[in-house]
Amino acid sequence: MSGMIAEGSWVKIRFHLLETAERAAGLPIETAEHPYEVYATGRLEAAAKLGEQVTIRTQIGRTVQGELCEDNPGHWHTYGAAPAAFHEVTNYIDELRRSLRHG
Amino acid sequence: MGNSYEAVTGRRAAILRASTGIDYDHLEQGGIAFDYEALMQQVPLTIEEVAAVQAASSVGNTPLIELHNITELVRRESEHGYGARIFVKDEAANPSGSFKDRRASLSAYFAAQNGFTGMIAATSGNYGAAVASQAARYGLDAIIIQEAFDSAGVGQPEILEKTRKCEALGAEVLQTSVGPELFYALLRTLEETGYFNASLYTPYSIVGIETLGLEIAEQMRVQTGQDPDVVLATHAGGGMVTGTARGLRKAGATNTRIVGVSVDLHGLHMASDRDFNRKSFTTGHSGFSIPFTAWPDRADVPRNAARSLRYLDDLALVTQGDVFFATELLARVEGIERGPAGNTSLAAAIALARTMGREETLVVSETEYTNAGKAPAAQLSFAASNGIDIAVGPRTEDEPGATIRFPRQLGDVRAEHIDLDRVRRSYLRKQSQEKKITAADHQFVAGELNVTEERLRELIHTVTTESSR
Repeated sequence: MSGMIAEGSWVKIRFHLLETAERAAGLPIETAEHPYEVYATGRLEAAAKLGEQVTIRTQIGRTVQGELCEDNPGHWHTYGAAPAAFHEVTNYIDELRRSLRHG
Repeated sequence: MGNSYEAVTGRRAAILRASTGIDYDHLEQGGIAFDYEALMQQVPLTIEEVAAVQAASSVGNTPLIELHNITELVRRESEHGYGARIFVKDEAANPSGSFKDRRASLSAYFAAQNGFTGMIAATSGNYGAAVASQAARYGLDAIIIQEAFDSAGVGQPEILEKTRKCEALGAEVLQTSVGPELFYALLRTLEETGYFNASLYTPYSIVGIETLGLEIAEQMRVQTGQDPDVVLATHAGGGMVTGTARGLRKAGATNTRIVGVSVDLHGLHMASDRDFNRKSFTTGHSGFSIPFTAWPDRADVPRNAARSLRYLDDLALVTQGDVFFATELLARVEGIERGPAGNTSLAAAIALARTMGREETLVVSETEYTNAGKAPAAQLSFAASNGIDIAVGPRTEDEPGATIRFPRQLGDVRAEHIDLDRVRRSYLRKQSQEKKITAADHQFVAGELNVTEERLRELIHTVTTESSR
Protein backbone atom coordinates (compact mmCIF):
# COMPACT_ATOMS: atom_id res chain seq x y z
CA MET A 1 0.00 0.00 0.00
CA SER A 2 1.33 3.45 -0.96
CA GLY A 3 2.97 5.42 1.86
CA MET A 4 3.13 2.42 4.15
CA ILE A 5 6.32 1.97 6.13
CA ALA A 6 7.14 -1.68 6.63
CA GLU A 7 7.18 -3.49 9.95
CA GLY A 8 10.73 -3.60 11.32
CA SER A 9 11.75 -0.32 9.66
CA TRP A 10 13.99 2.06 11.62
CA VAL A 11 11.80 5.07 12.39
CA LYS A 12 11.37 8.10 14.61
CA ILE A 13 8.27 8.83 16.69
CA ARG A 14 7.21 11.73 18.84
CA PHE A 15 4.83 12.10 21.74
CA HIS A 16 3.84 14.65 24.34
CA LEU A 17 5.08 13.73 27.78
CA LEU A 18 3.29 16.74 29.26
CA GLU A 19 0.63 18.86 27.60
CA THR A 20 0.92 22.62 27.91
CA ALA A 21 -1.44 22.79 30.90
CA GLU A 22 0.47 20.03 32.70
CA ARG A 23 3.91 21.61 32.55
CA ALA A 24 5.98 22.75 35.53
CA ALA A 25 5.20 26.09 37.11
CA GLY A 26 7.37 29.14 36.58
CA LEU A 27 8.47 28.49 33.00
CA PRO A 28 9.27 31.39 30.65
CA ILE A 29 6.18 32.15 28.56
CA GLU A 30 7.81 31.12 25.29
CA THR A 31 8.53 27.68 26.81
CA ALA A 32 5.25 27.23 28.66
CA GLU A 33 3.16 27.74 25.53
CA HIS A 34 4.44 24.49 24.01
CA PRO A 35 3.88 20.90 25.17
CA TYR A 36 6.84 19.00 26.58
CA GLU A 37 7.69 16.73 23.70
CA VAL A 38 9.89 13.66 23.27
CA TYR A 39 11.40 12.03 20.19
CA ALA A 40 12.50 8.40 20.17
CA THR A 41 13.83 6.03 17.52
CA GLY A 42 13.41 2.30 17.05
CA ARG A 43 12.01 -0.50 14.90
CA LEU A 44 8.39 -0.25 13.84
CA GLU A 45 6.29 -3.02 15.42
CA ALA A 46 3.64 -3.03 12.65
CA ALA A 47 3.41 -1.40 9.21
CA ALA A 48 2.03 2.15 9.38
CA LYS A 49 1.91 5.54 7.64
CA LEU A 50 3.49 8.78 8.75
CA GLY A 51 1.26 10.55 11.23
CA GLU A 52 -0.26 7.36 12.65
CA GLN A 53 0.06 6.30 16.28
CA VAL A 54 2.50 3.41 16.42
CA THR A 55 4.63 1.29 18.70
CA ILE A 56 8.37 0.99 18.24
CA ARG A 57 10.97 -1.25 19.83
CA THR A 58 14.04 0.77 20.78
CA GLN A 59 17.67 -0.30 20.56
CA ILE A 60 17.51 -1.78 24.05
CA GLY A 61 14.24 -3.64 23.39
CA ARG A 62 11.76 -1.34 25.15
CA THR A 63 8.47 -0.54 23.49
CA VAL A 64 7.47 3.11 23.16
CA GLN A 65 4.31 4.57 21.61
CA GLY A 66 3.91 7.79 19.65
CA GLU A 67 3.16 9.48 16.34
CA LEU A 68 5.22 8.13 13.46
CA CYS A 69 7.13 11.14 12.12
CA GLU A 70 10.13 9.91 10.11
CA ASP A 71 11.19 6.86 8.18
CA ASN A 72 14.84 5.87 8.43
CA PRO A 73 16.00 8.94 10.39
CA GLY A 74 19.64 9.88 10.03
CA HIS A 75 22.14 12.23 11.62
CA TRP A 76 22.65 15.28 9.46
CA HIS A 77 24.63 17.65 11.65
CA THR A 78 27.76 18.84 9.90
CA TYR A 79 31.15 20.46 10.46
CA GLY A 80 29.64 23.68 9.12
CA ALA A 81 31.26 26.54 7.25
CA ALA A 82 33.18 29.09 9.26
CA PRO A 83 32.11 32.73 8.91
CA ALA A 84 34.61 35.16 7.41
CA ALA A 85 35.54 36.56 10.80
CA PHE A 86 36.71 33.15 11.95
CA HIS A 87 39.10 32.94 9.00
CA GLU A 88 40.72 36.11 10.37
CA VAL A 89 41.31 34.19 13.59
CA THR A 90 42.76 31.14 11.89
CA ASN A 91 44.97 33.29 9.64
CA TYR A 92 46.34 35.06 12.72
CA ILE A 93 46.97 31.73 14.49
CA ASP A 94 48.73 30.39 11.39
CA GLU A 95 51.03 33.43 11.56
CA LEU A 96 51.79 32.59 15.18
CA ARG A 97 52.60 29.06 14.15
CA ARG A 98 55.00 30.26 11.44
CA SER A 99 56.65 32.58 13.94
CA LEU A 100 57.52 29.60 16.13
CA ARG A 101 59.57 28.18 13.26
CA HIS A 102 62.03 31.05 13.68
CA GLY A 103 62.48 30.56 17.42
CA MET B 1 -0.59 6.09 40.94
CA GLY B 2 -0.76 9.00 38.53
CA ASN B 3 1.80 10.26 36.05
CA SER B 4 1.08 13.97 36.41
CA TYR B 5 4.06 16.23 36.99
CA GLU B 6 3.08 16.71 40.63
CA ALA B 7 2.39 13.01 41.24
CA VAL B 8 5.69 11.79 39.79
CA THR B 9 7.86 14.46 41.40
CA GLY B 10 6.00 13.73 44.65
CA ARG B 11 7.36 10.17 44.48
CA ARG B 12 10.87 11.49 43.96
CA ALA B 13 12.37 10.26 47.25
CA ALA B 14 11.18 6.68 46.81
CA ILE B 15 12.19 6.55 43.13
CA LEU B 16 15.68 7.90 43.87
CA ARG B 17 16.21 5.55 46.81
CA ALA B 18 15.28 2.55 44.68
CA SER B 19 17.34 3.68 41.69
CA THR B 20 20.57 4.69 43.48
CA GLY B 21 20.63 2.35 46.46
CA ILE B 22 21.34 5.37 48.65
CA ASP B 23 19.09 6.31 51.55
CA TYR B 24 19.67 10.04 51.59
CA ASP B 25 17.37 10.54 54.58
CA HIS B 26 19.88 8.76 56.83
CA LEU B 27 22.52 11.36 55.98
CA GLU B 28 20.45 14.30 57.17
CA GLN B 29 21.48 15.90 60.46
CA GLY B 30 18.43 18.09 60.98
CA GLY B 31 18.50 21.72 59.92
CA ILE B 32 20.67 22.47 56.93
CA ALA B 33 23.53 20.09 57.60
CA PHE B 34 24.03 16.59 56.29
CA ASP B 35 26.97 14.18 56.57
CA TYR B 36 28.84 14.91 53.34
CA GLU B 37 31.74 12.52 53.95
CA ALA B 38 29.28 9.73 54.82
CA LEU B 39 27.65 10.38 51.45
CA MET B 40 31.02 10.04 49.70
CA GLN B 41 31.72 6.85 51.66
CA GLN B 42 28.73 5.23 49.99
CA VAL B 43 31.44 4.19 47.56
CA PRO B 44 33.35 1.73 49.76
CA LEU B 45 36.52 1.73 47.66
CA THR B 46 39.95 3.29 48.11
CA ILE B 47 41.14 5.55 45.31
CA GLU B 48 43.52 2.78 44.20
CA GLU B 49 40.59 0.35 44.03
CA VAL B 50 38.61 2.90 42.00
CA ALA B 51 41.54 3.19 39.59
CA ALA B 52 41.60 -0.61 39.26
CA VAL B 53 37.85 -0.73 38.49
CA GLN B 54 38.35 1.97 35.87
CA ALA B 55 41.40 0.31 34.35
CA ALA B 56 39.37 -2.88 33.92
CA SER B 57 37.05 -0.97 31.56
CA SER B 58 39.87 0.98 29.86
CA VAL B 59 39.13 4.24 31.68
CA GLY B 60 41.82 6.59 32.95
CA ASN B 61 45.61 6.65 32.69
CA THR B 62 45.32 9.32 30.02
CA PRO B 63 48.36 11.28 28.78
CA LEU B 64 49.45 14.56 30.34
CA ILE B 65 50.75 16.76 27.53
CA GLU B 66 52.90 19.85 27.94
CA LEU B 67 51.82 22.57 25.51
CA HIS B 68 55.30 23.86 24.67
CA ASN B 69 54.25 26.01 21.72
CA ILE B 70 51.35 27.73 23.46
CA THR B 71 53.56 28.34 26.50
CA GLU B 72 56.19 29.91 24.23
CA LEU B 73 53.60 32.17 22.58
CA VAL B 74 52.22 33.22 25.98
CA ARG B 75 55.73 34.07 27.16
CA ARG B 76 56.24 36.36 24.18
CA GLU B 77 53.14 38.29 25.30
CA SER B 78 54.18 38.38 28.97
CA GLU B 79 56.46 40.59 31.02
CA HIS B 80 60.00 39.35 31.57
CA GLY B 81 60.08 36.29 33.80
CA TYR B 82 56.38 35.56 33.37
CA GLY B 83 54.56 32.87 31.44
CA ALA B 84 53.83 29.68 33.35
CA ARG B 85 54.17 26.26 31.72
CA ILE B 86 50.79 24.95 30.48
CA PHE B 87 49.87 21.25 30.48
CA VAL B 88 46.69 19.50 29.45
CA LYS B 89 45.28 16.18 30.58
CA ASP B 90 44.14 14.47 27.39
CA GLU B 91 40.91 12.97 28.65
CA ALA B 92 39.71 12.51 25.07
CA ALA B 93 41.76 9.29 25.24
CA ASN B 94 39.04 7.67 27.36
CA PRO B 95 36.78 5.13 25.56
CA SER B 96 33.91 7.52 24.79
CA GLY B 97 36.15 10.56 24.42
CA SER B 98 35.90 12.50 27.66
CA PHE B 99 36.57 12.42 31.41
CA LYS B 100 32.90 11.51 31.85
CA ASP B 101 33.93 7.87 31.44
CA ARG B 102 35.46 8.16 34.92
CA ARG B 103 32.04 9.17 36.27
CA ALA B 104 30.10 6.52 34.40
CA SER B 105 32.51 3.69 35.19
CA LEU B 106 31.66 3.47 38.89
CA SER B 107 27.94 3.80 38.21
CA ALA B 108 28.14 0.88 35.79
CA TYR B 109 30.25 -1.14 38.23
CA PHE B 110 27.80 -0.66 41.11
CA ALA B 111 24.73 -1.08 38.90
CA ALA B 112 26.04 -4.44 37.71
CA GLN B 113 27.12 -5.51 41.21
CA ASN B 114 23.67 -4.72 42.60
CA GLY B 115 21.72 -6.57 39.95
CA PHE B 116 20.40 -3.67 37.89
CA THR B 117 19.99 -4.53 34.21
CA GLY B 118 20.27 -1.01 32.88
CA MET B 119 21.26 2.59 33.60
CA ILE B 120 19.59 5.92 32.85
CA ALA B 121 21.15 9.36 32.70
CA ALA B 122 19.47 12.70 32.03
CA THR B 123 22.12 14.74 30.27
CA SER B 124 22.81 16.61 27.06
CA GLY B 125 26.54 16.39 27.65
CA ASN B 126 29.32 13.90 27.01
CA TYR B 127 28.12 11.99 30.04
CA GLY B 128 25.44 10.34 27.93
CA ALA B 129 28.05 8.77 25.67
CA ALA B 130 30.07 7.76 28.73
CA VAL B 131 27.09 5.98 30.30
CA ALA B 132 26.29 4.33 26.96
CA SER B 133 29.90 3.22 26.59
CA GLN B 134 30.31 1.86 30.10
CA ALA B 135 26.91 0.17 29.90
CA ALA B 136 28.17 -1.63 26.81
CA ARG B 137 31.29 -2.77 28.66
CA TYR B 138 29.16 -4.23 31.47
CA GLY B 139 26.41 -5.68 29.27
CA LEU B 140 23.81 -3.27 30.66
CA ASP B 141 21.05 -1.38 28.86
CA ALA B 142 21.36 2.40 28.70
CA ILE B 143 18.74 5.10 28.25
CA ILE B 144 19.93 8.67 27.76
CA ILE B 145 17.42 11.49 28.11
CA GLN B 146 18.61 14.65 26.37
CA GLU B 147 17.17 18.14 26.22
CA ALA B 148 17.86 18.44 22.52
CA PHE B 149 15.60 20.74 20.53
CA ASP B 150 13.39 23.82 20.63
CA SER B 151 9.66 23.96 19.92
CA ALA B 152 10.36 24.21 16.19
CA GLY B 153 12.14 20.85 16.40
CA VAL B 154 15.55 22.41 15.74
CA GLY B 155 18.41 20.75 17.60
CA GLN B 156 21.66 22.29 18.83
CA PRO B 157 24.44 20.72 16.66
CA GLU B 158 26.62 19.77 19.61
CA ILE B 159 23.73 17.92 21.24
CA LEU B 160 22.78 16.25 17.96
CA GLU B 161 26.32 14.89 17.80
CA LYS B 162 25.90 13.53 21.31
CA THR B 163 22.62 11.88 20.26
CA ARG B 164 24.43 10.21 17.39
CA LYS B 165 27.23 9.03 19.63
CA CYS B 166 24.90 7.58 22.27
CA GLU B 167 22.96 5.68 19.61
CA ALA B 168 26.21 4.45 18.06
CA LEU B 169 27.14 3.03 21.46
CA GLY B 170 23.86 1.13 21.67
CA ALA B 171 21.81 3.39 23.93
CA GLU B 172 18.16 4.30 23.61
CA VAL B 173 17.99 8.08 23.34
CA LEU B 174 14.94 10.09 24.33
CA GLN B 175 15.28 13.61 22.95
CA THR B 176 13.14 16.19 24.68
CA SER B 177 12.10 19.76 24.01
CA VAL B 178 13.29 22.61 26.24
CA GLY B 179 12.33 22.60 29.90
CA PRO B 180 13.24 21.65 33.44
CA GLU B 181 10.84 18.72 33.17
CA LEU B 182 13.87 16.68 32.14
CA PHE B 183 13.90 15.59 35.79
CA TYR B 184 10.28 14.49 35.51
CA ALA B 185 11.15 12.49 32.39
CA LEU B 186 14.02 10.89 34.28
CA LEU B 187 11.87 9.94 37.27
CA ARG B 188 9.15 8.45 35.06
CA THR B 189 11.64 6.40 33.07
CA LEU B 190 13.40 5.19 36.21
CA GLU B 191 10.07 4.10 37.65
CA GLU B 192 8.97 2.37 34.43
CA THR B 193 12.21 0.45 33.95
CA GLY B 194 13.63 -0.16 37.43
CA TYR B 195 17.04 0.82 36.04
CA PHE B 196 19.93 2.40 37.95
CA ASN B 197 20.01 6.19 38.13
CA ALA B 198 23.45 7.02 36.76
CA SER B 199 23.08 10.58 37.94
CA LEU B 200 25.96 13.00 37.45
CA TYR B 201 25.62 13.93 41.10
CA THR B 202 25.81 10.68 43.08
CA PRO B 203 28.99 9.79 44.98
CA TYR B 204 29.66 7.08 42.36
CA SER B 205 30.02 9.80 39.78
CA ILE B 206 32.16 12.14 41.86
CA VAL B 207 34.45 9.52 43.39
CA GLY B 208 35.07 8.31 39.85
CA ILE B 209 36.65 11.68 39.02
CA GLU B 210 39.05 11.57 41.96
CA THR B 211 41.43 9.42 39.93
CA LEU B 212 41.82 12.34 37.53
CA GLY B 213 43.23 14.51 40.33
CA LEU B 214 45.45 11.65 41.47
CA GLU B 215 46.85 11.11 37.98
CA ILE B 216 47.50 14.84 37.48
CA ALA B 217 49.53 14.98 40.69
CA GLU B 218 51.49 11.82 39.95
CA GLN B 219 52.21 12.72 36.31
CA MET B 220 53.25 16.27 37.17
CA ARG B 221 55.69 14.96 39.77
CA VAL B 222 57.25 12.74 37.11
CA GLN B 223 57.32 15.42 34.40
CA THR B 224 58.25 18.48 36.48
CA GLY B 225 59.33 17.18 39.88
CA GLN B 226 56.59 19.12 41.64
CA ASP B 227 52.85 19.39 42.17
CA PRO B 228 50.98 21.70 39.81
CA ASP B 229 50.55 25.26 41.06
CA VAL B 230 47.15 25.59 39.45
CA VAL B 231 44.63 23.15 38.01
CA LEU B 232 41.93 24.66 35.82
CA ALA B 233 38.68 22.73 35.60
CA THR B 234 35.85 23.57 33.24
CA HIS B 235 32.93 24.12 35.54
CA ALA B 236 29.21 23.42 35.14
CA GLY B 237 27.46 21.20 37.68
CA GLY B 238 30.54 21.02 39.90
CA GLY B 239 31.62 17.41 39.37
CA MET B 240 34.93 18.12 37.65
CA VAL B 241 35.94 20.68 40.29
CA THR B 242 34.89 18.52 43.23
CA GLY B 243 36.28 15.20 42.05
CA THR B 244 39.56 16.59 40.72
CA ALA B 245 40.18 18.62 43.89
CA ARG B 246 39.45 15.63 46.13
CA GLY B 247 41.81 13.46 44.07
CA LEU B 248 44.59 16.06 44.29
CA ARG B 249 44.15 16.17 48.06
CA LYS B 250 44.25 12.39 48.32
CA ALA B 251 47.49 12.51 46.33
CA GLY B 252 48.89 15.00 48.83
CA ALA B 253 48.85 17.96 46.43
CA THR B 254 47.34 20.21 49.07
CA ASN B 255 48.89 23.47 47.82
CA THR B 256 47.52 23.23 44.30
CA ARG B 257 44.99 25.95 43.58
CA ILE B 258 41.71 24.94 41.93
CA VAL B 259 40.28 27.36 39.39
CA GLY B 260 36.84 26.68 37.94
CA VAL B 261 36.27 28.13 34.47
CA SER B 262 32.98 28.63 32.63
CA VAL B 263 31.85 30.21 29.39
CA ASP B 264 30.04 33.45 30.11
CA LEU B 265 26.43 33.10 28.96
CA HIS B 266 24.95 35.82 31.15
CA GLY B 267 21.50 36.96 30.11
CA LEU B 268 20.45 33.67 28.51
CA HIS B 269 17.68 31.78 30.34
CA MET B 270 18.37 28.06 30.48
CA ALA B 271 14.67 27.15 30.43
CA SER B 272 13.85 29.49 27.55
CA ASP B 273 12.69 27.97 24.29
CA ARG B 274 13.84 31.18 22.55
CA ASP B 275 17.34 31.22 24.08
CA PHE B 276 18.01 27.49 23.74
CA ASN B 277 19.60 27.69 20.30
CA ARG B 278 21.24 31.06 20.82
CA LYS B 279 24.17 29.66 22.77
CA SER B 280 27.22 28.12 21.15
CA PHE B 281 28.20 26.08 24.19
CA THR B 282 25.82 23.58 25.69
CA THR B 283 27.73 22.85 28.89
CA GLY B 284 30.62 24.24 30.91
CA HIS B 285 28.87 27.59 30.95
CA SER B 286 27.74 30.08 33.55
CA GLY B 287 24.08 29.16 33.06
CA PHE B 288 24.88 25.99 34.99
CA SER B 289 27.99 26.83 36.98
CA ILE B 290 26.82 29.89 38.87
CA PRO B 291 23.50 28.40 40.06
CA PHE B 292 25.08 25.02 40.85
CA THR B 293 27.94 26.63 42.80
CA ALA B 294 25.56 28.70 44.89
CA TRP B 295 22.96 25.95 45.27
CA PRO B 296 24.39 22.46 44.62
CA ASP B 297 21.25 20.59 45.72
CA ARG B 298 19.29 21.78 42.65
CA ALA B 299 20.42 18.42 41.20
CA ASP B 300 18.50 15.24 40.30
CA VAL B 301 19.36 13.64 43.67
CA PRO B 302 18.42 14.92 47.15
CA ARG B 303 22.01 15.70 48.09
CA ASN B 304 24.56 16.53 45.41
CA ALA B 305 27.96 14.93 45.88
CA ALA B 306 29.42 17.67 43.67
CA ARG B 307 29.87 20.67 45.96
CA SER B 308 32.29 22.92 44.16
CA LEU B 309 32.30 25.84 46.57
CA ARG B 310 34.03 23.56 49.09
CA TYR B 311 37.02 23.25 46.76
CA LEU B 312 37.24 26.33 44.55
CA ASP B 313 40.07 28.79 45.07
CA ASP B 314 38.98 30.93 42.15
CA LEU B 315 36.20 31.07 39.60
CA ALA B 316 36.68 32.65 36.18
CA LEU B 317 34.60 33.37 33.10
CA VAL B 318 35.75 33.43 29.50
CA THR B 319 33.80 34.45 26.42
CA GLN B 320 32.53 32.17 23.68
CA GLY B 321 34.99 33.92 21.34
CA ASP B 322 37.89 33.14 23.71
CA VAL B 323 37.04 29.43 23.61
CA PHE B 324 36.74 29.28 19.82
CA PHE B 325 40.13 31.01 19.66
CA ALA B 326 41.70 28.55 22.14
CA THR B 327 40.24 25.60 20.23
CA GLU B 328 41.89 26.74 17.01
CA LEU B 329 45.14 27.56 18.78
CA LEU B 330 45.36 24.07 20.28
CA ALA B 331 44.67 22.49 16.91
CA ARG B 332 46.92 24.63 14.72
CA VAL B 333 49.84 25.30 17.07
CA GLU B 334 49.96 22.09 19.09
CA GLY B 335 48.40 19.69 16.57
CA ILE B 336 45.70 18.60 19.01
CA GLU B 337 42.14 18.97 17.70
CA ARG B 338 39.71 18.68 20.58
CA GLY B 339 36.20 19.74 21.58
CA PRO B 340 35.15 22.84 23.48
CA ALA B 341 34.93 21.59 27.08
CA GLY B 342 38.63 21.54 27.96
CA ASN B 343 39.33 24.50 25.72
CA THR B 344 37.18 26.63 28.01
CA SER B 345 39.83 26.09 30.69
CA LEU B 346 42.62 26.43 28.14
CA ALA B 347 41.43 29.95 27.31
CA ALA B 348 41.63 30.88 30.99
CA ALA B 349 45.03 29.15 31.29
CA ILE B 350 46.39 31.37 28.52
CA ALA B 351 45.22 34.45 30.39
CA LEU B 352 46.36 33.24 33.81
CA ALA B 353 49.78 32.00 32.65
CA ARG B 354 50.72 35.59 31.76
CA THR B 355 50.40 36.52 35.43
CA MET B 356 52.47 33.61 36.76
CA GLY B 357 56.21 33.03 36.83
CA ARG B 358 57.99 30.86 34.26
CA GLU B 359 58.85 28.31 36.92
CA GLU B 360 55.17 27.83 37.79
CA THR B 361 52.79 25.34 36.19
CA LEU B 362 49.15 25.20 35.11
CA VAL B 363 47.23 22.07 34.23
CA VAL B 364 44.06 22.10 32.15
CA SER B 365 42.24 19.11 33.58
CA GLU B 366 40.59 17.78 30.44
CA THR B 367 40.16 17.58 26.73
CA GLU B 368 37.14 16.07 24.97
CA TYR B 369 36.72 14.44 21.56
CA THR B 370 35.47 16.56 18.70
CA ASN B 371 33.38 15.80 15.66
CA ALA B 372 30.69 17.25 13.40
CA GLY B 373 28.42 19.48 15.49
CA LYS B 374 31.14 20.16 18.05
CA ALA B 375 33.69 21.82 15.79
CA PRO B 376 33.90 25.64 15.86
CA ALA B 377 32.63 26.05 12.29
CA ALA B 378 29.60 23.88 13.09
CA GLN B 379 28.68 26.03 16.06
CA LEU B 380 29.48 29.31 14.34
CA SER B 381 27.47 28.54 11.21
CA PHE B 382 24.56 27.54 13.46
CA ALA B 383 24.95 30.76 15.46
CA ALA B 384 24.97 32.81 12.26
CA SER B 385 21.80 31.07 11.10
CA ASN B 386 20.19 32.15 14.39
CA GLY B 387 21.07 35.77 13.77
CA ILE B 388 24.12 36.00 16.03
CA ASP B 389 26.52 38.73 14.88
CA ILE B 390 30.03 37.26 14.62
CA ALA B 391 33.18 39.36 14.29
CA VAL B 392 36.70 39.95 15.52
CA GLY B 393 36.44 42.72 18.07
CA PRO B 394 36.61 43.94 21.63
CA ARG B 395 35.12 41.75 24.35
CA THR B 396 33.07 44.73 25.50
CA GLU B 397 30.91 44.07 22.41
CA ASP B 398 30.41 40.41 23.34
CA GLU B 399 26.80 39.75 24.31
CA PRO B 400 25.70 36.11 24.69
CA GLY B 401 22.75 35.37 22.45
CA ALA B 402 23.37 38.43 20.27
CA THR B 403 27.06 38.69 19.40
CA ILE B 404 30.26 36.66 19.43
CA ARG B 405 33.54 38.54 19.41
CA PHE B 406 36.86 36.80 18.77
CA PRO B 407 40.08 38.08 20.34
CA ARG B 408 42.16 39.96 17.77
CA GLN B 409 45.36 38.53 19.20
CA LEU B 410 46.59 36.12 21.87
CA GLY B 411 47.05 38.94 24.35
CA ASP B 412 43.35 39.78 24.10
CA VAL B 413 42.29 36.41 25.59
CA ARG B 414 41.11 37.20 29.10
CA ALA B 415 39.58 35.50 32.13
CA GLU B 416 37.17 37.48 34.28
CA HIS B 417 37.47 36.54 37.92
CA ILE B 418 34.24 36.10 39.87
CA ASP B 419 34.15 37.26 43.47
CA LEU B 420 33.65 33.99 45.38
CA ASP B 421 32.26 35.88 48.37
CA ARG B 422 29.44 37.04 46.13
CA VAL B 423 28.66 33.40 45.35
CA ARG B 424 28.95 32.51 49.04
CA ARG B 425 26.43 35.20 49.94
CA SER B 426 24.12 33.84 47.27
CA TYR B 427 24.45 30.36 48.85
CA LEU B 428 23.53 31.79 52.26
CA ARG B 429 20.54 33.69 50.88
CA LYS B 430 19.25 30.55 49.19
CA GLN B 431 19.76 28.44 52.32
CA SER B 432 17.99 31.05 54.42
CA GLN B 433 14.97 30.86 52.13
CA GLU B 434 14.76 27.11 52.75
CA LYS B 435 15.62 26.82 56.45
CA LYS B 436 17.01 29.01 59.21
CA ILE B 437 20.79 28.70 59.57
CA THR B 438 21.38 27.82 63.22
CA ALA B 439 24.60 27.64 65.23
CA ALA B 440 24.46 23.84 64.86
CA ASP B 441 24.81 24.30 61.10
CA HIS B 442 27.84 26.58 61.23
CA GLN B 443 30.54 23.93 60.97
CA PHE B 444 28.78 22.34 57.99
CA VAL B 445 28.11 25.63 56.22
CA ALA B 446 31.67 26.87 56.82
CA GLY B 447 32.85 23.68 55.11
CA GLU B 448 30.39 24.26 52.29
CA LEU B 449 31.74 27.76 51.72
CA ASN B 450 35.40 26.87 52.36
CA VAL B 451 35.74 29.60 55.00
CA THR B 452 36.46 29.73 58.73
CA GLU B 453 33.48 29.87 61.10
CA GLU B 454 34.52 33.43 61.98
CA ARG B 455 34.38 34.43 58.31
CA LEU B 456 31.05 32.61 58.01
CA ARG B 457 29.57 34.73 60.80
CA GLU B 458 30.72 37.88 58.94
CA LEU B 459 29.11 36.66 55.73
CA ILE B 460 25.86 35.80 57.52
CA HIS B 461 25.86 39.26 59.07
CA THR B 462 26.30 40.85 55.63
CA VAL B 463 23.47 38.81 54.13
CA THR B 464 21.17 39.53 57.09
CA THR B 465 21.92 43.24 56.86
CA GLU B 466 21.28 43.25 53.09
CA SER B 467 17.96 41.44 53.46
CA SER B 468 16.73 43.74 56.24
CA ARG B 469 17.22 46.85 54.11
